[in-house]
This record gives sequence, structure tokens and C-alpha cells, in this order.
Amino acid sequence: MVDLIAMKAVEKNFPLKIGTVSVEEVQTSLFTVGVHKKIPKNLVTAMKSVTGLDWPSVRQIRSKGSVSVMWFDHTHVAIMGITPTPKLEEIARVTDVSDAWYIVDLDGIDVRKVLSRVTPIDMRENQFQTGITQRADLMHMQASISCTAEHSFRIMVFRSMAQTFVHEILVAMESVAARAEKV
Amino acid sequence: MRLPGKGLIDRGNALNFHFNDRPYIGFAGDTLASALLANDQILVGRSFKYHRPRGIMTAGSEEPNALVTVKRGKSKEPNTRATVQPLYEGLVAQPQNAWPSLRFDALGINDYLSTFLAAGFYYKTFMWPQPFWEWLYEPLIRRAAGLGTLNMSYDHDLYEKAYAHCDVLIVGAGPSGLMAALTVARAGLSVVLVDENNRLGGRLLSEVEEVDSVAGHVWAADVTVELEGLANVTIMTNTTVTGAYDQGTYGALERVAHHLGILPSGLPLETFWRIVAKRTILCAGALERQIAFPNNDRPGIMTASGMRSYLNQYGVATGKKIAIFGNNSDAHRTARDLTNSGVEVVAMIDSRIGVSAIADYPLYAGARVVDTSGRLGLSAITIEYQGKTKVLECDALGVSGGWNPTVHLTCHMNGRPVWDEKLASFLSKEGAIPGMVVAGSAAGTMNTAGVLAEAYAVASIVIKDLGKSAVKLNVPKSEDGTYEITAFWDVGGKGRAWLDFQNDVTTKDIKQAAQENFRSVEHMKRYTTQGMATDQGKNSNVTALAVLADATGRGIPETGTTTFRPPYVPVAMAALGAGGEGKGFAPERFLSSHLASQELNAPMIEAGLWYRPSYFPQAGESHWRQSCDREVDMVRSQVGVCDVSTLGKIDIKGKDAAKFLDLLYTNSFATLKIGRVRYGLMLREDGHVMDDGTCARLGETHYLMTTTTAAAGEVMRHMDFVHQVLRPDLDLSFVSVTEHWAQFAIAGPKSREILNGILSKKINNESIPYMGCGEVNLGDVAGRLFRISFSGEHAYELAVPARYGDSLFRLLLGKAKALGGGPYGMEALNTLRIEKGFITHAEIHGRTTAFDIGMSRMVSAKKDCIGKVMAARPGMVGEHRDQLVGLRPLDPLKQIISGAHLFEVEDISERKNDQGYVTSMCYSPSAKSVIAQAFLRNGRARLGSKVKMVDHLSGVETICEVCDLVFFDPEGGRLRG
Repeated sequence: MVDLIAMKAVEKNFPLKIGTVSVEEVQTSLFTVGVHKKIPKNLVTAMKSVTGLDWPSVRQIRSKGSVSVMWFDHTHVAIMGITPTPKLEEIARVTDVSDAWYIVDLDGIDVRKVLSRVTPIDMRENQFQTGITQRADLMHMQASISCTAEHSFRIMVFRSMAQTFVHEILVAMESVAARAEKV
Repeated sequence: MRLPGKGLIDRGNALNFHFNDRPYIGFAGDTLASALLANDQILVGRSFKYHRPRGIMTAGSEEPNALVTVKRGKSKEPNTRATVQPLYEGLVAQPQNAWPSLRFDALGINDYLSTFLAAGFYYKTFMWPQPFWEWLYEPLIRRAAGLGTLNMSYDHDLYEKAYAHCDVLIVGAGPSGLMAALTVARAGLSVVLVDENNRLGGRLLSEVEEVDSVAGHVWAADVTVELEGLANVTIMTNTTVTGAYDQGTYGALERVAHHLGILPSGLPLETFWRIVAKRTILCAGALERQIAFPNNDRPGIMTASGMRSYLNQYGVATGKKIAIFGNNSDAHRTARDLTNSGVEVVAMIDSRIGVSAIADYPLYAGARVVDTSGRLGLSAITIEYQGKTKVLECDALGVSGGWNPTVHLTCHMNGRPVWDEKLASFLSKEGAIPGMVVAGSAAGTMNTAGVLAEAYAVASIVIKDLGKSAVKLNVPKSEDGTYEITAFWDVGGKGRAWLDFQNDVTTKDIKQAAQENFRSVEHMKRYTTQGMATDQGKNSNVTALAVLADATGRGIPETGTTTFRPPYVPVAMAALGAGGEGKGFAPERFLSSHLASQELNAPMIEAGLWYRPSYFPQAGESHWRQSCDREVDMVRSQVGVCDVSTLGKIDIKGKDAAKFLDLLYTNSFATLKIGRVRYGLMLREDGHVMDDGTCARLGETHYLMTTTTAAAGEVMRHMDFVHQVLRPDLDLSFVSVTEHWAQFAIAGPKSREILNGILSKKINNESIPYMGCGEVNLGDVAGRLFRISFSGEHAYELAVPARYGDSLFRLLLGKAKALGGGPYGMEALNTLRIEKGFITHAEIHGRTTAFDIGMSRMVSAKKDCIGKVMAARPGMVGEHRDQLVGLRPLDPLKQIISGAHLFEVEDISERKNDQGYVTSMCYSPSAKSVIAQAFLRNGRARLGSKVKMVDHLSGVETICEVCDLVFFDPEGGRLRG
């Protein structure tokens, strides 16, 4: 029998810490659930029973343990960390995109400063609060950026661009760390 | 000369530095300019055109004269303003534009030839003979003129870009900026406070005056400490706001590491910020201007306020015997501070009458400076007083022609400032930049008490405007003097009087411009280059236009100003483009098979940011064509494997998916059976072909669309538009799965044999027929199999989740190798498709229709689709259209070149005889000939005729036969296996 071996998008030793910020690759499942106009009640209920989480509103990410549901774009919600049940697939437009995205968690006191060097979105704590998710440009890459705690963010970019992303984020992390140390 | 006990420098921290190869000592807190002046180094450079000796004119970023080259390791930074360069241990700076030395500059001869070098001289003189301009005159002039020179090697310094957001951006941290920041911050709004210097306080650091019963700089330091302690305040020092842009966006340059001799790893030299603010308070202060008088450019002559800065902030007397020349009350402060510091003030020359001294110094009221002397530094001035001239020995002269409020940023969106007669200055026009208000000296308030009160009032309005309540503050008590000025621009008389010191423009040039009818201020600017240097004429523009107004007999308001444009200060291109070089230029997209292809030494070609293998060279192959031909033969005779994951893949689900696809595609997809794939053509709204590809029906309401690599994004955008705007009623969702699936073409007579060696369940013509598809398993991994072909061979595309791509590619290669096959790259893929007559975006390049490419029949008559009506317009179909045909040279080894044009054999190869053009070509190992695809006028009716291909660039001419597009297996038997 054929035995295919899974390979990471970037062969690097994670977690990596520079200054106060660390970056770690996240291995998790990711499914999109397509919606059109009104969200059916039975879908909200089914989602809750599968994930234990309420349907997220626009720009919202809800998490419980390793499972998350997040607003993904104007017609999609994403489920992370759990495989949808066949029942959910029956009533919803579920698509497996687990391998489409490269996912990392960034943590540390200066994480907002790091991200301010790669994305134009407002990183102020009172603007980008825990539980908010946004789609934005990240050094020419389309990214999904979610605030999971005051100093923690989950970043997703296309898998093919993973190496560029890691390069760019490390440059930004080095810059912020070097500033903290400059005379 | 350093004065004991004065200044805000750290005398306990001495710093060694070199200028012009000589060692000096300064202190922490010095700028290069203050340290040079402390060491009595008055001469720092030569002027742009006349190579006149020049010194330091100001103490700020507006400096026009003191430009030096700072060397740091291997890098060197030309045109660094000595006035903003912080001193550090080991700093090395060199003067510019002087040869062989600063003291003796050979091109100083230009000064003696000045009569011939006035404005307009070049335009009139170097006009003939015409060719001489390019190879003689221009190189000579460029060598003689100019400022610093570039390193001419790669810049290894790191530059960075960054973004900041705030409720209120405050530009400038002088008294008004500090007061505004305090007011806004205490109201709970987020503040970004930006200042050019490394210490907040602005003019308070340069003046002797009290605020809130303490020295001004102490008050500034106290406020700084308070602001630093507030979480809602971000202080950005060493940062200059360079431009105002739409939507409350500002550019700002932060000089991060110019104070360091060696840059720590990872630290950028500069950061270019994009700051987005709901409101902005401009507290940029004011800049002092010069008065034009003969020989007013000698080293030692500077602004009176600059002289005061060096005295009070750096503890430096800029001369031993100093004179002051001004037309306003503020100039007297310099005379007073110098006198009180024990420096000899030989004269306070005030052009106004009826004024009195404010300290014990000799005052010449109603007087003017009419000349100066001293070759490499000022030695004396001649003044005219009570009808007589008098020579006064002095080695420094402070000049104040009044203050220009710094309104530059308010003009960046085409706002024109307004003339204020009382201030003899331009003030900003209200609302010139949406969301920006101006306070303090920038708004024309010229005393500290007024500045503080105004900043508080303006900040309170901004706070209210943003829906918050201002916290009541007591505005600190401070100096409440008046600023009195009587406009006085040009002394006149014989001798050249400089206006623009950086571009060597004199009053004579301005008058000549007016004389030659360049009366508009914008014309004068371009004729004389006034204000066009890197300082943008900050010290000189207003005086220059006053001289122009006088020369043209108009008032200053009628004359107007030139346009202030970003950037406010010079910005290195490296800073503007930060993040865009090297890997930052564009993301690199790598296939899951990238490493394996690299191990096989495949050269990569970039397509839609993807790195795809061009070909896979084998031992003995020294040219890509050898590899390509072998790979084509391999696919035709055995089997080849190619990574095609880059094609766009869009997962479409919903009960109206079929309707949606029928609207997008020219042909029908509602009729497609589950488990089948169909080729589809998509038009733009204007009727031209947008893209092509296959679409598989995976379920009753589930389709998988593929797009070309290049148009994946465009098609997705188009679908979003169609769904959101044209048919929002259709119930469906779609999402890109391009990156989820690693997909490989397995093409060739032995393709099925490979698949049956790896799939959990064997396939045959019945289970997966031509244009069939289905779910498959590879051990525990679920995949998808499509029987489609871009090569004309019996072929499949096998998709697995991307994480397994590398493993599957290696597995497929192993199996293929055992059958005499192997990998093939883009070159072979291209040859295979041209042989088969398949198209790419070389053919559907945006100007071709379904009719042009011979696919009219694919536009279904039974349904509507986007672009259908527009494609049927008169002119879009018919004999006059360039139609896609095949070409082959009569001599099989003659060249056909992509992009070359086609002509009738007997016609002259010129534009009016153009018959079409070649889009793709290759050498076909199968046809043993060069073959091509081309658009030819009425081409399909001309099969069998001859045309002449001409490539005007390379001079190649080839007679070709027009033939059918399909060169290989026209019946398609191989496809069906």
C-alpha cells in the first residue's frame, strides 16, 4: 500500500523567539462553511453542536480549547481544530482547506509592534482586541490575522507563500528586538 | 567656541570625531554642526554652482548649506545635513563639492565667471551645435555642479517601513505640540507626537525663558516625562512628518540609527512610517528667513535664531565678535542672550527705526548691512547708518528677516497659503487638509504664552470633535512678549545677494527672470531653480517672491507662492521603498514539489509568482532544448509527470451553482453529468475572452472550476463581482482551494499503468473515461483524479492535499522512471500543447474573442452568458478579424519568433501591410519542425497559403505556410486511450 508522507510548508525549528516575541507553526484542520445571505437556524445549531461555539459575527473569532470558529470573509465562516461531522456537511457547504493555509501563532509583549511592520491595519489594543479577526495585506500577501489574546495573534497566509512569510516576520521581529536594545 | 556652563549637552561624555580628515572633540547631545562650531570650524562646504565657501546657516532640518558626507563602515551617506546629524564616537564626515580641498577649490573659478553663469545662461548658451549638449556640455556641467556623490555600490543598510494609527497626530513637540499632546492625552484619546529632534521642546530648548516658573527646557522635560508615562501616547523622536495624503494618512521618516557608528544586527537605519490619524494638529513652529544683501553667504553668517540655538542649547558662541542684523523684535533676543553670556556683540543692526535695545549692546536702528568681507570666513561687515557707511569687524553675523510659519504640510493637497500683512508671512488656509488644524507659531502666534493658550484651545476643539470631553488644564504662565516686524527683504546695491543658498540663486537671477517675462512665481522658480534644491527654499522662498513682486510691480499676495510638495525633508529612496527590495519585492510561491525539483537541478521560471521548473536536465544535456525535446519524446512515447498545482482551483457549492456557471461560461455546465469534466470558455463583459479551463461536477450542487495560473486571481474577482453585483439572488458559495491541492499531470501512453500502481483501487476506461473524474485513495490519503489532458496524450491529473505533494511527486517520479518516463517542465509542457493546438494566455491575451480563436461554437445559442451580446457586435466577428492559425516554416529549421508580424510574401514589411502576429512557437520533436500559433487576418480561410514572418527587432524573415492549428494527432485518438 502506498504510504504518503506529510511534509511541512517550511522546514524550520519552531518555536522561534526573537526579543520578546515568539513564532510557532500551528498544525490544525481548517474548513470553510459557505453561507449566502441569511444564515439558517439549523446551521447555527449544527455548528454549535459540532464545535461547542456560537456562530461568529463579522470580524469575530470564537475559541474553546483548540477549536475555533471565525468569520473568514463575506460568505464564509471557518472552523479550526475539528473535523466537521457528516451531518454538518449535509446541511452546509463545507470545504476542506486545511492544506491551503500556513498558520502560525505569534506571542509576546511586542507582537503588535512586529505586526505594525508587515501589515497596514490598526494594531492598537483598543482597536484590535481579543476575539477580532481581520483579512488584510501582509507584505503583499493576503492574510487572515486574528487576535487571540492581548499579546497573541494567529496569522494565516497561503501555504505556497509560507517561506516568504517566515522571512518577513523574522525581519520584523529582529527589527523590533534590535530597537529595544539600541543605545 | 564652547562657553563654560551653558547648554544642554552632556559635558561628561566627550566624543571624538573627524571632519575633513581632522580630529575634533564634541559632547553627547551635540549635532555635528554644533560640534564643528564649538571647534571654530566655520567653513564646512562649497556651494552648488559657484563653489563659494559656505558655513552653517541654521540649527535645524531646513539647513541649505552645511551638507556633508557621513561615512559609516563601507557605506557613506551624502548630503547629510550637519545640523540634524547627532554626534557619536568615531563619526567621520567629509565636505562635499570641493576639489582638491575645502580651503582651495579649483572650481572656485566659477565664482569669478559668475557674470556668465547667471540664471538662464545654460539655456541660452549651450544650444548649439545641438549634439554637443549630450556628450560635452551636460557632462561638464554635471561634473562641475552638484552636491555629494553616491557610493555606487549596494547599500547594505537596512531600511524599514511601518504603520501607526492614532486618534490625534501632533506634528512638532515644541511648546504648542507639548501643550496639545498633554491636553489630548488627558482626554483619553490616543496620541502620536512626532518631533524632528531627539529631545522634545522645540524652540524652548533654544530660548532663555520660563514656562510655569521653570526654565522652558525644564518644563518641556517634565511634560515629556508625563507623556512617556501615559499608555495612550506614542512619542516619536528623530522623526519628521514628510507629507500629508488622503484619508488622514501622513508619511513620516524616522532616523532610527543615525546616532550610531555601528548598526546592531537587525536595526534599520531609517523607518518610513505611514501614520493614519482621525485628526492632526500641526504644531510645526516657524522658520526664520534671511535678508538679501551683498555677499550675505560668507561662512559665519547664519540665522539669528540658529545662533541662539547654538548658544543656549549647545553652549556654543558662533564667533568672538558677533553682529546681528534684523527687521524684527525677535532678532534682539539673540543680541541679548549673547550679551548676557559674555559674548561681544559689536552691533545690533535693525532696519526699523524707533526701536530700542533690550540689553546692553550697541544698537543701530534704521540701519542695514550693505556688504561683507572675508574669503573663507566673515571678517567684517559694512553697514549703512544715518546716510554713512561704516565697517565693523566681526567674525559672525546673525540675520533675521522674520519668521515663516511652517505651513508646508497644509499645502500638500493643493491648498494655497494666505498672506498676512501684519506678520509679513503666509499662513495656512483653514481646512486645507481635511482633519488638520494648526496651532502655535505655525498658525502665526509668535509668543510662548499665546502659543500655549492656542494649543490648549485648538486641542480642546479637536477633543470635542472626536466626541470626548477636554479635561480642564491650567495653561502655564510664560513669556507674553510681542513680535514686531516691518517687512524688509532686499538691501539692494551692488554685488550678489543670495536667496537660495543651496542652488546658488541671487536676487539678480530673480530680477532677470522677471525681465525676461517669467513673471509667474512658478515660471520664475523653474527659470532660476529657486527653491528647487533639497531644502525646498525653506529659508528663501518668501524673500524670493517678495523680490519678484517688487520686480514685477505687484504685491506679494498677487504674486503668490510656489507649491510645497512632499517630502518636507529629503527622504532616501531606500526609505521610501523600504520592504520592497530582495524578497520583499513580491512573495515567492513554492510548489510542494519544489525541493524535489531543485534536487533534480531544474532551473525555475516564475509564473504568477510561482516558481515552476522549466526543464529537468540530464547528464550530457548542455542546452535547454535538448532537455525539452527529450521530455516531449518521453511523454509521447512513455510517460511524464508535471506539477500543475499552480492552476487556479475554485470550489463551488450551492443549489444555484449550475446556473451561476452557465452565466460565467460560454457553454453549458448545467448539463454536465456528475463525475465528468468539461472544458469551458469565459468571456469578459466586453465580449473578449477572459480565461479558459476545465470544470468538474463532483456532486449535484458541487463543482470544481480550474483556471489558468495567470488568471486565477482575476477569475476569482470576476466571480465575486458577478455574484455580488449581477446575480446576488443565486444561492451558492465558492472558495479558492488552489493551495489545498497539490496536483500532478501524469501524461503519456503509460500513465494509467503508473496510476494503477499507486491507487488503492485500479482504474480503467469505464471507471475513469476521457473527461471523467472521481474520488480516489492512495493508501490512507484521499485524492481526486481527473482524466484531462493538456498534452494530447492519454493523461490524468491527480490531486492530493498539499502536505502530501512532495511525497506523491517523488513516488510518481519513481514509478515513471521504472517505465522509461520522468518529470517534464514548462518548456516541454508548452511544446506539447502547441503541437496539439491548445491555447494559453499568449493567445487569449485580452484582445481576442471566441471567434478569433476558433471557438465560436462554444458560445451556446441556448443560453445567455456574460459577454455574449458584446462578442456579437459588428466588428467582433468577420473576415477582417485576426484569426488563430498554425504556422510552419517552409524550411523546417528556419526561425519563427513570438511577437513577430506577418505580411503577404510580396508586400513590403511595414505597418500598413500588417497581416497579423505570432503568439507562440516551439520546435516540435513530433513534427520535426519549428511550429507556431499566430493570429492572421481572415486566417482560417487562408490555410495552405504562404505568409512572410518578419521580426523587425532581430531582422529575421521566414516564409511560412499557414496550416491547421493542430499539428499532432488531429483525430484525438491518443487522448481517449
